[in-house]
Amino acid sequence: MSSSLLCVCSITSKWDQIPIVFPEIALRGSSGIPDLQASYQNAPNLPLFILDGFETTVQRIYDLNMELVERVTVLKDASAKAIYGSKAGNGVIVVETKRPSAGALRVGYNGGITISAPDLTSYNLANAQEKLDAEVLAGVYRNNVPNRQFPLIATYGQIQKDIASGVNTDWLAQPVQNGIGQRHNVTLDGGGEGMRYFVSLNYNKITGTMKGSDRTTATGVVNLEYRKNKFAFRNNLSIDNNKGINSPYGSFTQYARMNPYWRIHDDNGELIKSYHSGNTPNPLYNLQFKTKDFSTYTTITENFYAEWTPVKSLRFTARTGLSLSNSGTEFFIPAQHTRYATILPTSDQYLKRGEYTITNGKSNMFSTDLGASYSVEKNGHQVFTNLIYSIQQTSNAMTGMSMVGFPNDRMDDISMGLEYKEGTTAQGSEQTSRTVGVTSAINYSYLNKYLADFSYRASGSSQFGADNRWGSFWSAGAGWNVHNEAFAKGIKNLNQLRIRGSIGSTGTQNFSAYQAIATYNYITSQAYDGELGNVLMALHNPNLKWQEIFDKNIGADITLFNKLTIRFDLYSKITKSLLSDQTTAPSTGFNVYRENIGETVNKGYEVGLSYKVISNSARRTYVTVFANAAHNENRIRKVSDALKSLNEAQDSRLLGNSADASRPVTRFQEGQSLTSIWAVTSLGIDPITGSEIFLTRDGNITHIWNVDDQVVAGDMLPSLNGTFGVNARIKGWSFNIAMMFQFGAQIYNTTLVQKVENASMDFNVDRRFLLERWNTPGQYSLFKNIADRTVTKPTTRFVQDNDEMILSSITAAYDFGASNMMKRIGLKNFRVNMTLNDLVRVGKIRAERGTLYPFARNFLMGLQFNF
Amino acid sequence: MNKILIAVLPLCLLLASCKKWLDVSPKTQIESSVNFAGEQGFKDALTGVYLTLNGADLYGKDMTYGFVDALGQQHTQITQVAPDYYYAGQYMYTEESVVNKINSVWSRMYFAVANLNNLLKALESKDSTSFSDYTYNVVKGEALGLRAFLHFDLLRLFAPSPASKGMQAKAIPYRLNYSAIPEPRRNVGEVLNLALKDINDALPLLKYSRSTGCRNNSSNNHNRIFA
Repeated sequence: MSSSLLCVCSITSKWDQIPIVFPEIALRGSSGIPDLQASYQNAPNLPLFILDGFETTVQRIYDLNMELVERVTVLKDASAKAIYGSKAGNGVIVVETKRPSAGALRVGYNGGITISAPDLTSYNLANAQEKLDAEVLAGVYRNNVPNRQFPLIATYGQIQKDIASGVNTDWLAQPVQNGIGQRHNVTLDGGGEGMRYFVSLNYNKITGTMKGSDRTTATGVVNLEYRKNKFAFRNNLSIDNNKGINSPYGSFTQYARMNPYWRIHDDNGELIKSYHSGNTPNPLYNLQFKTKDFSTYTTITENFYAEWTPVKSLRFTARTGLSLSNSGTEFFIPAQHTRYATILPTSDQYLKRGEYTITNGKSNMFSTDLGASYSVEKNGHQVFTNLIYSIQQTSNAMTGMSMVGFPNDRMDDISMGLEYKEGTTAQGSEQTSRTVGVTSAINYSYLNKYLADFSYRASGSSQFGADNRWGSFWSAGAGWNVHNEAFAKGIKNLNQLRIRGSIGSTGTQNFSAYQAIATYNYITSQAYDGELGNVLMALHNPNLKWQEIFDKNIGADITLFNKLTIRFDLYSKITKSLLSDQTTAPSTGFNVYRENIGETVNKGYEVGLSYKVISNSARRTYVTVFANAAHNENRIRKVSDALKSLNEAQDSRLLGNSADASRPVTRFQEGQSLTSIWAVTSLGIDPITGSEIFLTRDGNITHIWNVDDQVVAGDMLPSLNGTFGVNARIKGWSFNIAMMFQFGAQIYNTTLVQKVENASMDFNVDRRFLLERWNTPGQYSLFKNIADRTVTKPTTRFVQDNDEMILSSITAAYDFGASNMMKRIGLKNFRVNMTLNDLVRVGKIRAERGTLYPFARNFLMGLQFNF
Repeated sequence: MNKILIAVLPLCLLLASCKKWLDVSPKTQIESSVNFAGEQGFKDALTGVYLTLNGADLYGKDMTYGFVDALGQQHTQITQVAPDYYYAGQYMYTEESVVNKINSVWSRMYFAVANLNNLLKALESKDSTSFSDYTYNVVKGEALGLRAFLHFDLLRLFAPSPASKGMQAKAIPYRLNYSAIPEPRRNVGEVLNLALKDINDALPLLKYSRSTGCRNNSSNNHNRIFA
């Protein structure tokens, strides 16, 4: 994947919409149990990210300047992953940045603007009159007690009067804007036979669709490369600085809830502070004064690489990497903030209004590896071996505190606070983990026809139980280049036919540290008789092991007619020793402890093809069509009693009457998928009563929802998903169109449930609440009785097929080439490009846009030139 | 072939020393084995148990003048404003707030017991001569006494009294070990016997201790059980 294609892919656009949330990525299916009781340090299904040979974080990749990227390789099969060993069980994404090339000094500029345009048409909220009518139908203004009925009628009258005088506030439009972001990148590179250099300065500002939210990153990179005789050295130094600001307008969800018959300004033109007698603040009120809500980090990364080749067949390498990072967050609201709207001057909380919270973090990653490789060739046999020894240390530390008592927004420094926030003191935490490993690999090939490779890795980590610190991982693979065989050389038009297979074992390490070591924690909040005490932190498990993944893979690469390339892979990934919390009786002193239990299997296939429709270099015209599809099936193979009790604990969430009870739970059952949707079978809404009819497991009909009647109603994993598109270059023009599709997946439409059925009458609702809910006997409706305020628990009524096809991006670019005008100015090339993302979506269900962040489309425009 | 062996050997030696390098301890916490390396760690762990008992969810409030006294009808002026104790006073055991208090008492008492069991286990591997004065005996004696006392109080709250249902009635688990494996409930008579055994083991150890506030508390506790 070259850098220009990366700009096109729609993953970038999804990330841009929510500037401060990072995506969760899973390659070839889930293998880790989404942590239900404790929290992981990283999401359990994250692959390992390697940048220029060193491990790095999702955050760094997300903030990376696309222009620096030379190549991205995704490693999914056993042999590829085994080299990376213990942390590679979920796959590896290897990113390599551009290396300096020889030549006279070259200066280049690459920049562009991005426009994020919010699209509010898919939100279908009720207007003022509709909301009031819905409230009437839901019985908000009815009370059986006459002296309570009377003020309700007065409220109704007042609201109706406001609506008649024209009040109909469009709350959704208040906080949104067209986010215009920009990026600029300047590079200098050049060098001679000995020394080469590459310098890059980058500035990237992503402006979100919520007013006041943005994310700014500035990066400086210096890469040096030096070769002399048998030595080569490389040094990469990069400094990144980032600041992300959260919108002072608050969250988009708040605006979606505001009732449209509320005014924003009162009769004097002043902003109204709150509604519902102070319980619901006006989110716009807080814009009148200064607040802070941002996070920043500065990272310095230094990688040094040295290589010595004493004889042609032997090479020694040494690599050292260091990454130092300082981060911080600040949050400040003064006393006038609507959060304190209900506190009276007589209350003892009055002086404690206003809050300032800061945190400071430090994170260091240090790693070194030493390696040796040897190759020999004789009589058509080629052998290549290498051995690498590596050690790594990661440490994180965080301190923070929260002060209260800030009477106005001019006192915006933490030292001006009155006292610590009640119940808190200064906080700190610290974590260090270390790993050591040895990797060795042998690759063998004979006449470039038969290939075999074997690799072995042993790693130890400080995170695991004393009895099980070391894990060993291996892989073996074989390949056959059929196209180099004598019999195949005669076959016309067969350019390449390689059959390959591999098996191997890798591991994952995405867990919190110190789960395996019995540890005491000092109680710092109190002393006893002047003495300090400590208590056990958790039930430790000294037998905790690495989660192991066995991969089996077979595939083929075929090229025909020099035009058609097909890649096919069949795989099976078994995860053993799955880590999860095991519940235990409270009389042991604790409720849970970590244990290796359970097993999952992911099986599937992946197909990719690309076809060169036209490839005419004389006319400089190239057109290629590509398509990829994948199918993955996920099954839980073994479930221990621990997971069964986890199911019971999960089900208990559905028993109450809170909003939590409306989302389907994750249940673990042998033979079922980790992404199954569990719900009770619904037969629809009874036209006579407006309440839902369910089917029990025994086949009886009932009005009562029962947690034991849940069945598997669908699966969130699609049967087939993939991408397809066209790449074309015609003279100076180039076009890319990429489409994404998926079939066979189901989704539990939680957004629809929350907007139409579980919506609270205190706040605004979807128009369908009024228009489509049942309100008279005899009415056929998809949604239950408008007056029914009980929580809608998981039901098959909201399990919907999520088949969709999305036009994910279109890119067009023009390269001015080497025209005379350019030669006069001295420009070597000049290129402009434009990209549109997420243009069109065709799907079986209407996309219910969530209200966490406004849905937006992205337009990117850029230009690039070199001297 | 020899070349490969030579390359691999020194690395094996390096790996052996790496074992120590992989032992990482958190700064704000202390590993159990390091804690119990010296006398102070034992005292700290015992103090930790007292601090746990001090909390508002146990003897700081709920086990004394709070929840338990509400059950004992000592508070007559409670209205709906203090819902926890209101429902407790009415013996409405299925109310969410009351259920939470009961769960909290059970969990926290057994948490203290788990800490005591780990402490006792660590004491077994040491002998009294490696400690100063009578520290070993005092720590062990107080730990055993506390274990008996805590189980006795749990018995008082969670099991029927011998007078009403007899000694064979099902009661609570008596934890003698720190482990993840739950233990079954024993009957009233067994619990009382085990508690008495712990006290009889503790009394001779406490005979020679210097007089401190802590010691007086333990003897008071023991007297309560005998009564």
